[in-house]
Amino acid sequence: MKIAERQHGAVVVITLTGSLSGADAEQVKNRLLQAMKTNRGRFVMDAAEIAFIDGTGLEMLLDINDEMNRIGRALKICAAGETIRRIMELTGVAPLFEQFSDANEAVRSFL
Amino acid sequence: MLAVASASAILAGLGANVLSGPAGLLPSWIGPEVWIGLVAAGLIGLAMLAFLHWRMRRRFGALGPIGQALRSMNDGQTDAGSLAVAVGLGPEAEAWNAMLDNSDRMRRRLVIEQAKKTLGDRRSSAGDLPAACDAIPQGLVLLDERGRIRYANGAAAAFFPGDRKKIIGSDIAEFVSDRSVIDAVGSILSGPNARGGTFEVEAADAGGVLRISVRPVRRSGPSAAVIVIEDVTQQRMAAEARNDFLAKATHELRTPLTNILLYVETAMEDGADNPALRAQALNVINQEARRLEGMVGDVLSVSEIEAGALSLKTDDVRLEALFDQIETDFETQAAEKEINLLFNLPPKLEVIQGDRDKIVAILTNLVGNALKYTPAGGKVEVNVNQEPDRLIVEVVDTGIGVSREDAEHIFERFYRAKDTRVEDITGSGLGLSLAREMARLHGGDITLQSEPDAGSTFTLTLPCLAEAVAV
Repeated sequence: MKIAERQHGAVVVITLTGSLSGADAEQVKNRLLQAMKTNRGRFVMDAAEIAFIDGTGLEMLLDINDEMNRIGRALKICAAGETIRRIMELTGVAPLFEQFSDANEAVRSFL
Repeated sequence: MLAVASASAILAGLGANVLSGPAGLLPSWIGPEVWIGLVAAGLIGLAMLAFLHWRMRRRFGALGPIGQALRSMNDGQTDAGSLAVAVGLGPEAEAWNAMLDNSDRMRRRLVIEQAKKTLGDRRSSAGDLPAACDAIPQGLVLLDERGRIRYANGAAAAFFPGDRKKIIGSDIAEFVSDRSVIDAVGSILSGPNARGGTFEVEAADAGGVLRISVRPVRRSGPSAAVIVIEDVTQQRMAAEARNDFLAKATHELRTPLTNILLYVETAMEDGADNPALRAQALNVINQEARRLEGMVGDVLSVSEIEAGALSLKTDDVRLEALFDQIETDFETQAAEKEINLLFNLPPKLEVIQGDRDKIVAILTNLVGNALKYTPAGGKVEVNVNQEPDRLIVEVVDTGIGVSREDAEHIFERFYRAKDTRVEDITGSGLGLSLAREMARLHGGDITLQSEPDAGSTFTLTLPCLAEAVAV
């Protein structure tokens, strides 16, 4: 899994490319937790290039969301494709996250 | 037992009489042996009756007291000690007492459970408030009369370094170094009339800007203060970007306006006598007015994007006609600059879904830039390829190219390459940024590959499937 970052003002957009599953989940979790700490929660996960998420990946996202909930925020996910959206809807986790159609909209939500 | 003993004695005496008495008392056909047998049988029968009576008394002796206890219970007696019967009354008594013990234990457990539930409910209803405080993104800190942290919600704990539990009881000055905040806290805690204040503070640890509000907590006991912390970094940066944008936009708009005013003056003063000068002035005015119009359009589009109001008016887009229009628009400009402008289109192009005006704006920007930054005698090629799910348009030029450093920023608003050759060419620095925003609105993108002095290739990708268009 490839993890790229770009800065939008004070917000970091973290783009994940590939399948979010198994061993990759831990690596992504560490990166997101780091962004949460160093950037005080001002980050967005760009899911446009995520091809697939398995149970481990979803569990990791829920863990991050729990951490965000503790500081009064929720994980912001943007540009999730049809497959990812359906996985999240079928597993019932979709309403737990804040979802946006694109990164700009997600970044604007910090204003 | 006495009855048994006396009966035995009578029988024994009778037996003795029978044995020793006159023979006339007994029928002649009954011998003394028979009498002895009859007496013995009677004695055994009596003994068995006595044993049975004893056993029955022992077996059911508890029923009386148990019945009495049941009546007391009916009258409202619940104390297990008072309802118990003597243990010596047999197994029923023991069973009764055990049953009383059990019921007593169950009743006590029920009471405890009920109490726990009530307490638990009270605790959880008290727990709603901390949970609610943890759900807000602003940090909330409650200080006691000595400036120590009595409570910090989840967001506040994230603003302060260290473990949330360790924060409680610590002095606020350990976490907030800003003098004005500490002074405001001090004045609230030392006097009843302080009103607190709101301060914007640069965060030391993770950077950014925090807005900290300090307010007194009005109560009868010792004074206390509440602090609300808000992360306003993004708002501050957005405000700076807006101001910067406004300053640059105003500057960019002023340049053509100055030229227009200058040439209007020239045309008015000297134009009447010199028709050639007048024509030249009008030409410049025309060019600058068009430039101004384009820039105003760009600025409006930027503000629409900023406000999230820029949306697509999706419809069928006939690509052949669209590229024909672009070609017609630029052929004069290319010819004037002696640039070979080539359109390489496939034999057939499928109709795609998109916003025609915005696609034209994107291509106008890319082709316009290619012509602008390609020296005379150069070549600009527009290569169009249509794949089943996407349209790829490459605009290849033999222009001045873009350095690696500039390539990273070229899509940013108002960014102009550091190249000195670019300084002579007019441009607002908004075009590419807008083109890419519009491409992304379609679900596509624009990328750049370039070599300084060798030329640039801008690649526009647009999705072809109707459902891939994000509106």
